Amino acid sequence: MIAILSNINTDYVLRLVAKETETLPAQGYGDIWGKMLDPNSDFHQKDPETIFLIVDIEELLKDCDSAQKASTEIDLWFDTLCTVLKPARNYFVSDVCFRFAQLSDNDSFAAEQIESYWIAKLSATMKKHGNVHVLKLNPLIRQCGKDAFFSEKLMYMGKVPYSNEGNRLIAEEILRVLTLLTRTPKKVLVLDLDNTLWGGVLGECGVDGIELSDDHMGAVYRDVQRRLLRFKQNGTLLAIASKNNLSDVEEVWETHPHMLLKKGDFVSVRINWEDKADNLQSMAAELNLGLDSFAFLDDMPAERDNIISRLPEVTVPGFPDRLEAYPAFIDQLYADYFQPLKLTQEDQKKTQQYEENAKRAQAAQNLTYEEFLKSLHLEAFRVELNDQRLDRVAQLIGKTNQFNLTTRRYSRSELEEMLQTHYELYAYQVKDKFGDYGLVAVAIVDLDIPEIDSFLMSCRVMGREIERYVLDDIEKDLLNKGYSCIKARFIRTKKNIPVVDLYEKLGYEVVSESEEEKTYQMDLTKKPTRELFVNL
Amino acid sequence: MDVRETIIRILAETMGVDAATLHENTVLQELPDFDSLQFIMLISELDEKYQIEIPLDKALEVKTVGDLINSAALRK
Repeated sequence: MIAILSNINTDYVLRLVAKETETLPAQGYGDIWGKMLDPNSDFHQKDPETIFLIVDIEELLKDCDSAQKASTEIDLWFDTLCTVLKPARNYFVSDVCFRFAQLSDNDSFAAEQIESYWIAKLSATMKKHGNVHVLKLNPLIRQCGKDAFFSEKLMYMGKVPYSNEGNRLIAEEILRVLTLLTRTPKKVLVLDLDNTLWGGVLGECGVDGIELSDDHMGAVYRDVQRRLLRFKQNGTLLAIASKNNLSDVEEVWETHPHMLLKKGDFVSVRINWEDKADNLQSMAAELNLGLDSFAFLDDMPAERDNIISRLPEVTVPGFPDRLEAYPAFIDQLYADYFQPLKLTQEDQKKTQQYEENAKRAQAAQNLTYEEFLKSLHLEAFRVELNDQRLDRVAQLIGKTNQFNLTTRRYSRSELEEMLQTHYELYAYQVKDKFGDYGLVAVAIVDLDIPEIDSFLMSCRVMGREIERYVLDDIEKDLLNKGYSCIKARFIRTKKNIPVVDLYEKLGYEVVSESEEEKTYQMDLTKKPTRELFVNL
Repeated sequence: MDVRETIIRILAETMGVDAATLHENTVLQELPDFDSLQFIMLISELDEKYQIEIPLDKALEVKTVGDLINSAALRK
């Protein structure tokens, strides 16, 4: 299923496309991102594999009154796009075009700069994400002209920027792109030589007589060869099937100054006087490729008809009537039959994209997580110790395993003894909007060093960043007491891996490290300022 | 070219109805499957193919076939 989303009304395009392929029904225009993210939306539920995003740049930038704002808006659009991309889906983002005549040269130049900026952002996005492609509307607009493509009246009537002709051209382009996505590109282009790669018949006019130069007719064939060479560099295999003497052709390859395509550029060569259909069959066997991956280009209708009737699987495009149209014809041939459109499944970067998307999704989640924490209205405060609370403290010390930095077990009486000497006990109560968690965080500091001898928290309050508050409070207290430095320790057990780098994360410097434990220190005078999510 | 006749013919083709059933009083909204998009397409088709122009302000007010005909003019 395909989807067409836009910030303007593309319903007409959708209706035309819907006649040929399964499309997501019109969603109303505007709010592209909302539809893509809302889990209740039709878009989300039907999960189309191919998504076309048609953007009207004037509508997008209608509130921007400066170039700066325009580029910021465009940056935001592409940043948001990157967060909604899903792997194994293909996205086609349109290029953009200012519809109406600009008031002055300055304005029209600015418009072109914005259009280029969009393309630059789109190109960068396409490089990072193999499943993002461009939907080229500008060549269509250039072909028929802005006046014929756009309609101010329809824009003001119903936010349809395009005339009927414009809508039709867009729909055709979308359908063409869809066939590219589903068709298997051809692999081999078999070329004739006389009047195909050069003008004239080599056998009759000799090497010096063929048309292949920088002027006039010769330049046409030169341009054709340039294009073919580029396609070869993109992966198309070139081959020759020509009725000629091999020695004559070799003379061209060796001596003609404008023969761009050399012997080595062709994967297979059949230069003989045999039937070309036989030649193609032997080529297919030689290359171990099916004839259905072949296309055959020859200026002579008789040769083309021969292949069409004998080898129906071979694609035989026609030949242009007008010589000057030949290079453009080659471009079209490539676009129609050879141009690969990378599908995500084959893309090597798919794994990388998937990871990047996951990171982005996570970043988006982290943002939400902070908001979530803030929304809890967390309260935390240190409590004075009494009998009851000491019982609770002893209980926590005895049973806490996960959020326990040193897992030192002290009985209640041991604690009482410690508190009479150089140990300070910190105990904290935590509440949030849902209720009171009670006494859930405990720390014991050996003031002789000073070092955090024990630090533990009930798993009820893990993941609420309470530890930030606790450490912050302890550090402040020690500073007040005149200490300038504090030490800490992590002793590894099977169960306390969740806190293996808690101290590092909160700004403590690692002093030593072994398999069983890590020791830390912090200069209290340089203690970090941390964002707290409690007592806001 | 007869503007009235062309409008009725194109409207009939677009809506898939018999031209004979369309009169001045026919309310466009009441034609089966008629929606705002169809209307936009109709306006645009008349303009592009037949140079029959219906000005923007009038187009937004059109309710009946008669309104359509009365606000139409051949483009110069």
